[in-house]
Amino acid sequence: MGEKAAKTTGSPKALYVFVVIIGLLLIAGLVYAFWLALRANPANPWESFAISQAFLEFRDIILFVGAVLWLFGTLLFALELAGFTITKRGISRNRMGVSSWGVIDVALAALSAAVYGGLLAATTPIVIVPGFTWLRPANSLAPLFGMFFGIPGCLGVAFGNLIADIVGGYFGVGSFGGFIGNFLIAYLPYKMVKDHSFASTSSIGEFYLWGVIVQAFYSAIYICWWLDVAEGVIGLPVFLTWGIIAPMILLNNITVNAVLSPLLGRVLFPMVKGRGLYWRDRVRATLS
Amino acid sequence: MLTGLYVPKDTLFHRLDPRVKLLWTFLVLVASIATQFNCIKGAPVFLSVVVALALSGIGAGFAALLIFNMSAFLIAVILVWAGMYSSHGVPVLELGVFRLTDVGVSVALGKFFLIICPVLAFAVFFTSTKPYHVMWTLDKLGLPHKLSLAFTISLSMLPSIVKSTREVIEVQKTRGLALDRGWPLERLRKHIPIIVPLIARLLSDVWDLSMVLASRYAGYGRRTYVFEPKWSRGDSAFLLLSLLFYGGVALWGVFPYA
Repeated sequence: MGEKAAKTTGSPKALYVFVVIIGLLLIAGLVYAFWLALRANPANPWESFAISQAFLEFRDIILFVGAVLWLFGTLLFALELAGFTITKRGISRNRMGVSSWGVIDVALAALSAAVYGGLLAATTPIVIVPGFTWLRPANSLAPLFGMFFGIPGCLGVAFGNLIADIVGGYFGVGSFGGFIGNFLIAYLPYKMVKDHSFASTSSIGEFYLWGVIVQAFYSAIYICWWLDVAEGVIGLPVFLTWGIIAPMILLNNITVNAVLSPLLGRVLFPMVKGRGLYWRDRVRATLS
Repeated sequence: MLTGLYVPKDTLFHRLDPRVKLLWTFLVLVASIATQFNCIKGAPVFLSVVVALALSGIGAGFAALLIFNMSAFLIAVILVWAGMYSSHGVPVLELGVFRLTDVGVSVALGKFFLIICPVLAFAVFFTSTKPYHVMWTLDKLGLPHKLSLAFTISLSMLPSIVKSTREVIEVQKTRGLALDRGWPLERLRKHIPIIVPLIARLLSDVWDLSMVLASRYAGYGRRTYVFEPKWSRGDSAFLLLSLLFYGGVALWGVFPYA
């Protein structure tokens, strides 16, 4: 299946290998930059962290770009739930909107949310630097749920994040950004990666591009743009939003999704497909 | 019966209509926003939410637990806000470069109340409202029924999923899995034997849940409720009191001499 997808798209393998290398280099670069910041300023490494500085220095540009991304992301969210999707030919119906959902879709959305939220609540974050930054293994499931279960999986991730906020005591106005932001983390690889099997270079390469790099930047900007714009209602200072939260989202999402998601995807894809729950198989069955 | 975050009790908050509780949460948010730059004005809102926790039978201990859970985050918020207003007002503490002023303390605590009060108010809502009534409320708010159904099921199933996750972790630990040893990336990889069994369970649960939903005709046609909450005089009185209290605090916050 993976080979077939690579042939049909005609994308060179070298490009995908290049994307994977870029993804891994990004992790190494982020970790190294944070290590440098920690050495320079052990009491507050975020102040010296190059990514935090970049976010804060170019905040005006990021706010403008963020507004465009936010509008586009929110529109995508609404469109997909309404049963429409953007294709090369324009906006068309996709038969995956909430009104077309059957009981399996409801069950998939509910269980993905419970598992994602439950894992976020039950697993201890892996601390990289005590008190400063950590990795959440549960986040590796977000792109996989989107790729395997389609829109119900994407919505499950959004609900799961919301539930984790409720349980963890973070539920508030800021959770709105996290809700759609997490939907997009699952949606981007679902929509943009052609081969979801993780069994070929093209599959892993595309995943690294959309599910690791683009997704991490998009979600960090989307979530933090909302926190910044709604500062008067949420109460987070700008330094905390762009200097700490945005780099943490970036560091966590890139690392966890680059390391854990492809390994899990390779193991889980045959199981999901074997159980008849892969979204393409279900949509095909509905159409036939 | 799965109850999720709901704590079954017979208290004032449990008897209130879910719509009233949601409106109360909204009023708490509005009052917190209006008083965010002055901790003295924000304090009554915070106290009222702690009282609400006590009245809902959850107890102020729950508030303390939630605050403890997010303590690192809250301390960072307080310090940053206090630092941002360190050039305003009269200094109360100076430790090297760190300067704390009365205005800084007031704003930092006001922001703390702005963050924590809506969180606690939503905690009151979810712990005192049955999942069945959460779904009813979401339906009344105009959310598509399939979405409110999926959300309510996931909220209800959370405790069992958390329990299963902890069981899987314990089992894998007895088999020699050391989650707390090794480099961060290695420790990340060690989560695969925890996540895979959980997803395997999810895949079989999906079919079971689908059959349960199909047998109850869930998601098709218009959903009706056997046990619909009824708006009582008590609900109206609570809403009126809340409007007066939080409205007054909000006015006090926005207009200093109101």
